[in-house]
Amino acid sequence: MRCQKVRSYLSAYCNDELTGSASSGVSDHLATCEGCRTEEQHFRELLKGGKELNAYRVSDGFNNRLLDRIAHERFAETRTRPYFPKSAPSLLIRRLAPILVTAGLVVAVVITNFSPNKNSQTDDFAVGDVQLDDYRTVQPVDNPNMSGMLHKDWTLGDQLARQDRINRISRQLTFDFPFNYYNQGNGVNVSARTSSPAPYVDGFYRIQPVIRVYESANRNTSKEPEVTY
Amino acid sequence: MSKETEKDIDYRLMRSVQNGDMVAFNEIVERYKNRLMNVLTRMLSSAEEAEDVVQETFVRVYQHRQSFNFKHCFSTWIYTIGLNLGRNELRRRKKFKFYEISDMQGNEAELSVDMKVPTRVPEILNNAVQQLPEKYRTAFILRDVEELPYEEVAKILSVPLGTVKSRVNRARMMLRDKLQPRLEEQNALSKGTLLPVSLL
Repeated sequence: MRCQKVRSYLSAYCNDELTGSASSGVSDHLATCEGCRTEEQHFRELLKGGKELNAYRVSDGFNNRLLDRIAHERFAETRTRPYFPKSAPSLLIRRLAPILVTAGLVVAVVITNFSPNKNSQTDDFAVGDVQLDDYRTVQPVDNPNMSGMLHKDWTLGDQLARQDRINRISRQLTFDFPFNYYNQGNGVNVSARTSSPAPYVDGFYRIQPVIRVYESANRNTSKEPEVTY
Repeated sequence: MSKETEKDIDYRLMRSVQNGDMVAFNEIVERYKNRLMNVLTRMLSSAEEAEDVVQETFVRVYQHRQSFNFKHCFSTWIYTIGLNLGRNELRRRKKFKFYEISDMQGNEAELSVDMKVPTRVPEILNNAVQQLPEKYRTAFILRDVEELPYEEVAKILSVPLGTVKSRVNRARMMLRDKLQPRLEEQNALSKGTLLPVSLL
């Protein structure tokens, strides 16, 4: 065995960790090699020094301090804790609860918006597919039955629509005037008294109290157009 | 009847602790407190901090006494807890640098006493062990100071057996290199004066 290999084994050899041929090989080499014997002596000194290393010990009163802490731990283990049943609200229910609440809210909103009463109420105010509530959607419709009645220069569409809305609300409030609105075509026809008054048809149009419509706050309001049905 | 081994004693005591026997727990403390102190003081280089960690180790043992698995060795379990807490302490130290008040005062007289050069082999060895890298130091302490079997050291450190052997061997080589000048000096003196090394 060569010196280099023997020296790599020396620490294990000195600690009796080598077995078999390795151990005997090192022993044979040490018997003949002075340098490796010196190395072996160093390792044995090291081993001896390791065993003589000063042993550290805990300070006095360690056990008492530790037992105080343990007593505190025991108290913490046995103290009364608020009772939270683990099995009552199961994990599934706890996780599903927000989903169920959200689903319930969605169902409630859907039922409210699409109930039959709501639809029937909408029909009262709708002509065709036009919502009278939205005055901007109310535009003159070229209806052959009413073509002669309508003025071609429709300039007060917005005001008329708004007026129509106000009149309907007032009708709802008073119930005095059964308002007949045209419901044959695909839109609404309203007539306005403009520069040239449109002809009136008895039973079809009712003259309502005049309600003034202001075009705009910026405009000169001295000439306020009067709009009636 | 066969003699009760160390392992069997640990198991018996631990069963009693699990049943609430504090006398048995005190016996476990007596058996392991100085062993842990020895390892942790060398690991942390501070007896006070090591004692705190030893105390914390026993508290953890008590807290988790019901989860101890009797398939494993109790000493492995308690050393693992202690070394993990020691490593946590070392990590904490790296985060926060601590200064001694004496460092700030610059008391040269005290410093000169502290920094005296050790002359005896165990003293040199003690200092040399402190200077070893942590992984070699822990393996060396558990194997050569505490004299635990390699297999148990491997379990405590959670590394393969070969790695432990390699680390211990490497640590011994490093220590030998540090001690060599002193050992050669001793050899020369013993040859010259024919005095036994132990008297030098």
